[in-house]
Amino acid sequence: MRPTLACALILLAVQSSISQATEPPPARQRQTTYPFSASGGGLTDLQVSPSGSAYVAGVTSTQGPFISRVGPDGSLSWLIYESGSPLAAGFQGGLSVDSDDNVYRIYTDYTSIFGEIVVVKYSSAGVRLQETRPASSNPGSAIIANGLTLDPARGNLYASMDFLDTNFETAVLVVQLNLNLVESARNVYRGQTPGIPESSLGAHVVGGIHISASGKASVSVREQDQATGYVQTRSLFLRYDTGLVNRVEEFLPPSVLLGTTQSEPVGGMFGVIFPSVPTFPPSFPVYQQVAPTFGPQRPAPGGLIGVGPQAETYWRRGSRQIQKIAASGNTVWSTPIVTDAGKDEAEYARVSNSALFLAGGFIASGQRRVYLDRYGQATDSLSVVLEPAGVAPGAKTQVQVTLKDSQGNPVADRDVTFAAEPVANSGGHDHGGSRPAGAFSGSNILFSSPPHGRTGPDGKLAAIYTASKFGGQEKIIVHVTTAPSISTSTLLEVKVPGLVLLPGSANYGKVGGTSFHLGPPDSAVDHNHYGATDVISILPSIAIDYAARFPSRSVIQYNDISLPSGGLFDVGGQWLPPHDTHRTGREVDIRSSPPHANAVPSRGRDFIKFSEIVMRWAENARIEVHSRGTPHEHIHIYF
Amino acid sequence: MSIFISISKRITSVIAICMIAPIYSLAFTINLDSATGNYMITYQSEMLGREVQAVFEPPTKIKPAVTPDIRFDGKFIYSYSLINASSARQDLVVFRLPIVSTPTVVQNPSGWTSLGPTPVNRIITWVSEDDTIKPDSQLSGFSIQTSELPGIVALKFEGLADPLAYPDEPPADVGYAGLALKREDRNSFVTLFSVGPSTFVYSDPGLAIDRLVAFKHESVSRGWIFGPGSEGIVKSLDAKLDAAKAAVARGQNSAAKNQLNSFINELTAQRNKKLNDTAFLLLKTNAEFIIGKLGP
Repeated sequence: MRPTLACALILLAVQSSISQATEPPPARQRQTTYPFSASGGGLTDLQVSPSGSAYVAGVTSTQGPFISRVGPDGSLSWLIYESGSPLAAGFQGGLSVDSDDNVYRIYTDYTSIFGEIVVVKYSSAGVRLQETRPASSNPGSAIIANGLTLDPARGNLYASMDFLDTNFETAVLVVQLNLNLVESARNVYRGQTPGIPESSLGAHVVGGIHISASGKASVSVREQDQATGYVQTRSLFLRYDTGLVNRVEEFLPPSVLLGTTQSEPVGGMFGVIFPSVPTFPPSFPVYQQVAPTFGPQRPAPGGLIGVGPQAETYWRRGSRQIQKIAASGNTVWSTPIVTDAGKDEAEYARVSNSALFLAGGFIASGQRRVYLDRYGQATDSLSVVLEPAGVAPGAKTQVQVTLKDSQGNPVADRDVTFAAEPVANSGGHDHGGSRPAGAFSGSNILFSSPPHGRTGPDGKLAAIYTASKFGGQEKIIVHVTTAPSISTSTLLEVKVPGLVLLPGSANYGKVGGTSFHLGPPDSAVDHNHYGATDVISILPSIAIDYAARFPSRSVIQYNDISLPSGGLFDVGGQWLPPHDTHRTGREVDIRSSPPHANAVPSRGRDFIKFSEIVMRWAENARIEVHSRGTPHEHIHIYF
Repeated sequence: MSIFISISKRITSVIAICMIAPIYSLAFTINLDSATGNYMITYQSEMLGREVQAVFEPPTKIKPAVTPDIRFDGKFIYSYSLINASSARQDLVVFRLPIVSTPTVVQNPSGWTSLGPTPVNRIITWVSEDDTIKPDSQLSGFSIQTSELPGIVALKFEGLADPLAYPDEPPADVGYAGLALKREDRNSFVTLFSVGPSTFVYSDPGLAIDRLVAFKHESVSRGWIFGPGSEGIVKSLDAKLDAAKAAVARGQNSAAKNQLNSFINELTAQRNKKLNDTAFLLLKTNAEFIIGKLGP
C-alpha cells in the first residue's frame, strides 16, 4: 500500500471514529428493580413527565396490569396493580403525562372474557382520580388497549384501541376525552380491503396514536383476513380531522406492511414500518420493528426503543447495547447497557430534561423481572475545592476536584479538564490586555493544552495551581473533558494578605493614579495606595515629622505603594514590569525634588535628613532613588 | 574585585542563570570597587534597552571615635565628643544614640539638628544640617539629660554619601539585591560601643554590685581596661567588688561603701593609664550610684 493511501485511510478511519461519537454516553445513576416477578408479562409503556419523573406501565402474569411512578432521583414512588385478570400479558397499553404530573393510562381489564378497555387518571401521588371504559357499550366489548396521547394545547386526550364489533370483527376505535376522562367524540374504522368480505376482515390499530401540532389524530392500521389465518392484506394510515368527524384513509403500497409494534411520533409520521430488507440505522422515517414485550415475545436483537424531543432515536443493538442516533442519522453515542446479573434488553427509552430512562426486563431465577434505569446525561456533578482558597501572587494552591453522580456516588476514571481565567479588573487592574493566568501542575495532570487528568476510584483528582504574579481573582474552571456541560468553577483570591488603604490626610498627598490603575489625584477611586498594615500606620507619622523638619517644603506626596491585592504592579498597564517591586505593600514611592519643585529632596544632606526621619519610624527602612535624572525620578523606600 | 555576592539564594540563582545563559535579561553583577569602596551594580535595563550601572556608596567610609562624659546633676548628663579620623573618606553627618526614656534636654552642636525618639525607635539622631565632621576633625556638643544610669550602648555613625540611585526602575532581582547590600550593617553605618543611658531598675545593692561586676568584665573584654599590668588592676578591682558584695550580704553597708569608694579611687588613679574614659565613667558612675543607695 502506498504511504499516501495508507495515511488517507488512517485519516478516514480517524474521522469516522470521530463522527461515530459526538458526545459521551450517559452514565447509569440509579436502577429500580420492580418488586415482583412472574412467569410472564411485560412492559407496555414508559413515559417521563416534565418534572423528570418516570411512569412505567406493564402487565404481570401473576398480578395483572400495573402502573408505577419513579421520582426524578430514580427512586420508586409507588406501584399500583390494576384490578383485572393477568391475562393481559403481552398486550399494549399506553401512558400519557400532563403538565401537572398526572398520568393517564389505557389498559385492558380482562375480568370479563373478552376484556374491557379502561382509561384511568392518576395523580402524581398515585391517587386514582377518574376512569372511563369507552368501549363497554359495544356488544362485543373490546379486546386490546392501544395508545393514549395527550394534546396539551387543547386539553384533549386521545385513546386508540381494537374492539370487537357486532359481528365479532375487529375494528379500530379512536375516542377523544377531556382531562377528566369525559368522552367528547369517537370514530370507528372496520377495514375495507377489496375482495375480503367484511365478515372476515379485521382492522387492528398498530402502534400508538399520534396527535399533530394542529390537534389532528392519526393512527396506523393493518388489515388482515381472519378467515385465512390472519394474513395481512394491506396497511394504511388513518388521519382524522379535529373532533374525529372526518377521516382520510391513506393506503400504503402493498409491499409495505406494518408490524405489530409500538409507534413513535416523529415529524408527523408514526407507526413502524419494516421494509423487506432491514437496514440499520434506518433512513428516516422508516423504522425497524420493535416488539413491545419481553418474554415469549422478546424482541429480536436490534430495534427502536425511543424517540427524544429533538427527533433523536434510541436503538437497541444486540442484546446489551444501546445507541443514540441524531435526527440527521449520525450516531451520537453507543454504549453497553449496564449489565447486572441476568439483565435482558432495554425495551423503552424516554428522555426527560435531565435524564435518559431505560426500561426493560430480565430473567432471574426463572422469573421475569422489570427494571428501570436512570441514566444521567448531564447530571454528574463536579465540585472543586481550593486549599487554600486564597494565596499570594505566584503561590500555589491545591485544586481538589470531585466528580459524583446524582446519587452522590464517586465517578471514577473520567477525564477532567482544568482552566483558569483571570477576572477582569480584579485586584485594582483597571485595564484590559492579555492578562496572564497561572498554571496547573501535579503528578496526575497531563500538561497537554489544556491540562487534564482522570478521576481516581474515589472520584477525585488533584492538581496544583500556581497563581499568576498579579493580584486579583482567578477563576478556576473544571469540566468533564468529554462533557463540557458538567462543569464548575470557583474563585481563587490571589492576594497579599493584610493590605490596607492609606487614608487621605492634609498632612500628605496621594498621587500616581492612572487610567490603568485608578488613583488620586485624578480619581476618587484609589487603587495604588495599598500597603502592609505596619507600613500604612507609620506613613502619616513620617509625613508629619517631615513637615516639621522641612517647613518650607510641600507636604509629602505618596506615589504608588501597592495595588489592593498586591502582586506585580504593571504601571504601564501591559502586564509587565517595571514597578517590579511594589508587590507586597512594603515599597513606597515618594515624589522627589528634582524633578518636582519643593518636593522631598533626593540629594545631599537634606536627603540624609529625610532618610533619618524615615528610619526613626522604621529602623530597617532603606531609601534609594529610582529613574535618577529623568522626569520620573522619585524616592523609593523599602520598609 | 569582582565578586559574586552570596547575599541571598535569589542573587545566587540569578547569577547561576547568568553563567548558563549570559544573555538572560535579568542577569546582573555586583562589583566592589576596592579603590573607592563603592559597589557597582550592572544590569540590563528593560526600560532603557541597554546595560546600565548604579553606584552604591556605603555611608561607612568614616573613621569615628567618641569621647564620652557623664555628669550627675540630679539627672545624668551624657555628653559626647566625636572625632572623624584623618583616614576617613567621608564627612561624618549622622550620629545615633540609643536611649531609654525621652531625654529632658537634648543639646546639639552648631550646624546640627537632633531627631527625638519615636514610639517605635528609641534613639536620638543627630544629623548634620550645615556643618559636618570632616576627616581629621572633631566636634563636641552632643548631649542629653536623662535619669537612666550608664550602661554599654551601641553608637552608630554615617558618612555623607549619595543615595543609591538607579537610572530606571530596576528589576525586582536587582532592586532586592541592592536592598540586601544596603541592609548589611557594614554597608549601613559604623558602630562603636560606648557608655550611654541604659535600662536598670534598682532593687537590691547586691544585684547592683553584680551589674557593676559585669560592666567591669565587659570593659576588660572590650579593651577599655588595657595594657601591661592591667591584669593586676583587674584583680584589685575584683577584690574590692567582692568585698563590697560580701559586706552587703552581712548587712554591713558602711563596710561596703568603703570598698566601693576604694574601687572608685583605684579607677581614678588608673584613668587614662590602664583604662580609658569609657570604662572609667561606666564603672565610677555606677559605683557612686550604689554608694548613694547604701545610705549615710
